[in-house]
Amino acid sequence: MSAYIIRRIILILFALVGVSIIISLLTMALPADYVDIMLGTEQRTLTETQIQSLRSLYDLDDSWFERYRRWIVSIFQGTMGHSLRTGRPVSTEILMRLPVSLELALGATIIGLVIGVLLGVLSAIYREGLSDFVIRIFGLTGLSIPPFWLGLMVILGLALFFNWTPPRGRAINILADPIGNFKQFIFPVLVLSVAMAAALMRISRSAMLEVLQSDYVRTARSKGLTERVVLIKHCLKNAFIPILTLASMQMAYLIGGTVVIESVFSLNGIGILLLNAVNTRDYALVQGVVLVITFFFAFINLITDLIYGFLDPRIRYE
Amino acid sequence: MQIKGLRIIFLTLFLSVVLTFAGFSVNAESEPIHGGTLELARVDDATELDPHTTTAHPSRRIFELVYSNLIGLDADMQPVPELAESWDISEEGDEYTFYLRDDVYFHNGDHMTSEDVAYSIERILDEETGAAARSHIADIENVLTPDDYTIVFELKSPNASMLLHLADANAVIVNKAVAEADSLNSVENTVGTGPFQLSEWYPDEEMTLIRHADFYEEDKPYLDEIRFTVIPEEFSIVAGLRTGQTDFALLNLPTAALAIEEQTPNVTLSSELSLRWTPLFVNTEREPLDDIRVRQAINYAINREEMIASAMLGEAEPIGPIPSSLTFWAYDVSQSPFYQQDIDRAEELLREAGYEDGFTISINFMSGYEEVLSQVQVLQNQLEKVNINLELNSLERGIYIDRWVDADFDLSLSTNAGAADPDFYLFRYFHSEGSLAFIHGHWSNDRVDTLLEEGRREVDEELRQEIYLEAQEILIEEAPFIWLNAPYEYFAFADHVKGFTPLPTGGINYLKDVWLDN
Repeated sequence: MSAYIIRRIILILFALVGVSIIISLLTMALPADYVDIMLGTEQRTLTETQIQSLRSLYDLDDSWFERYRRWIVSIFQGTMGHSLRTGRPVSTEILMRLPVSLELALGATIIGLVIGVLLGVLSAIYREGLSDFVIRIFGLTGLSIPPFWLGLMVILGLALFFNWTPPRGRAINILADPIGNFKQFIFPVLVLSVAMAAALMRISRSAMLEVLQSDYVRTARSKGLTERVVLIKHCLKNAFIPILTLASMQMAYLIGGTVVIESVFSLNGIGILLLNAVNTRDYALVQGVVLVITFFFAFINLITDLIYGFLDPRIRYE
Repeated sequence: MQIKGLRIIFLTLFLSVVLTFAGFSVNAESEPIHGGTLELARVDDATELDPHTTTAHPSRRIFELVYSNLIGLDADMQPVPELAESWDISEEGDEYTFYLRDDVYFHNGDHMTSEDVAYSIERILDEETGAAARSHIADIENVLTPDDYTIVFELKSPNASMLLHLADANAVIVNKAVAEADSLNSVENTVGTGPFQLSEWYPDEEMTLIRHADFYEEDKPYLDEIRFTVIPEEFSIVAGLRTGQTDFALLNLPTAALAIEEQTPNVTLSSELSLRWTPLFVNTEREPLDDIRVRQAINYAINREEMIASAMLGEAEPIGPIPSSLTFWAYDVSQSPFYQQDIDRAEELLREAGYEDGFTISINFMSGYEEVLSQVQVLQNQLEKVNINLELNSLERGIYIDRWVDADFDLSLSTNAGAADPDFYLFRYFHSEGSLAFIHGHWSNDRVDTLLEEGRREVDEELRQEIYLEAQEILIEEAPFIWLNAPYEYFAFADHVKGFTPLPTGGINYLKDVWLDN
């Protein structure tokens, strides 16, 4: 087991190195650099000397190799380079935003899991009944509603009917002010969890349906076990592997992929950070955020694989 | 972004869901009250903080409050005293003398003198700085400081636009000691003489400005604090205005502005025709646009009113070379035959030019802006009627800019920054020596060259107006650009926010006069 984990961690490191090379090549390949974007269409009103001095101010004249080397060194120094725009270390920028993204992703995943699995199981048990029908309509609707639209509707609904808007501006720290944090995050988390719950409901329904027809369920029932034990211990535990796969993929995606909800609710996660960094060609910041997102993808995958073994003892790690 | 495409649908929903009453308020004139925090929301945050190199609008809004200029501009874009109490311009227009106030202090307590002013102007002129305003004030040859409160600029040649350029947010006066010691791109080094002092900045989230107690205008500012909050989605800002979370907002979208106008009681919307301007940039070097008849045909084929009504919900005005917000200088386009759609005339011109079967050209524009895309689509539709097939090139910002600075396009559409000065819209583009003359492929006209040179020198306003009207008439006829429209600048504020003066620059300089009537 521990050998397996170590091997996986080494693989993750390799993946990060690969991603770091690709992303730094890609950012170099982006048309227009930081100074071009900063000056926009006005740049031809500046003299060559003026533009050159701006370029050298931001170290934009170095070769790819030099920039990459400097970036890697800065990673080991813990700064991951400096944002061109704010001049602050990239690691600081990311650490400031990461809690927001993690809270959104984790919150949406937990609520999505609870609601999605519950509905999926109900829907499978009462297959073709009225509740199955209603739940499946929810699933389809939840998947089809664009989150930004739902988010806007929620904000406007709150404003119109309750004359209240969630706190905006700086993200409220969950430890310092749990109630304020709750007010700020509950609605974006709920909006995100709708699509999550809908997707998870569909997969738990089909997984449960499959398991319910298997021989060991019939055996369990004929042994005289109560329906509750059959459903939870025998069915759900076995049906959980595809559910977990989907939930972990979705969660990993949400860490960097909540831009739209961040913008509607004015929360600054790493999604908006990345979008703005790409738009302004803030190279070190783009690279840093992509690397962090890659890390979380790999990390969540690893954790998921480990949970598989716990759920299904037949899965072995060698 | 996909968010924007659905805004109109959303607006319709918004309008139909709610019933509200038009809020009306009685504006009793009363004495300003000191104190309070103004909650200000806008969609984007300042980018950087060096006032001489950062041209992004969200940053300029901050410079307007934190720094001061030698002179300011009033709502009619006329010069008013700021750091300079008064000024003299020599008969020939080549020497400007400014008499400074002696009671001006920086946020760090330093006393401001002519040394700081001289340093700031020289910093802009120094090529190493990379200052955006340099090209506008490059006519300044010598900066003299006869005493602590007098500053003299000697110009290479007379320049009637000088005053207005000195009022620009990128030509503010910085603290010499601070700027010499370190970069100005930080909160600590943002040391100005303006009504407010920058106190905290959390990029993309919040910025706090606090009252400058030693501000030179007596009693002002009235507010203790202004908190800028970044809310990227405009409808989300509208919701905040409705619930009272936000007191004051800067908006861009006509849809959001309409939502406020019609659905949000106790919030005033001020729509100020902008100095920004949207033209079709035309590459007059490329066939078939090198033919003046083709350019004129396009002008006749376009229906600007229809474009504004359907692409911009009616929230814009047709413009000539100088936007209508500069009332005194703008050419009245409603008189011009080129602004009346005339399909027959367009077809006739195309036939004369040998393009009766039509042709295909492409148009570049920046992706992600709903209004821009809609305008381009309407344009495509209108040109189709005269057999001109328009290919749409939706480009990412960086690519758009790259192509623009290489003039690599047939047509290109964008909304551009403006200035309070007529010369800004004309000389750099249409004088054969203009710094941006490359953009239309070096179209030139001797008469226009002469007029633009005269316009720069002429100090008499009436004569200068005639010069620019003539130049604009030629430009409209020759069509090196095809001018379309100017949008509005929207300021939305709660009824308890008093004393604000909106500016067509989109500037918020006059937040110094604002007070809260709670």
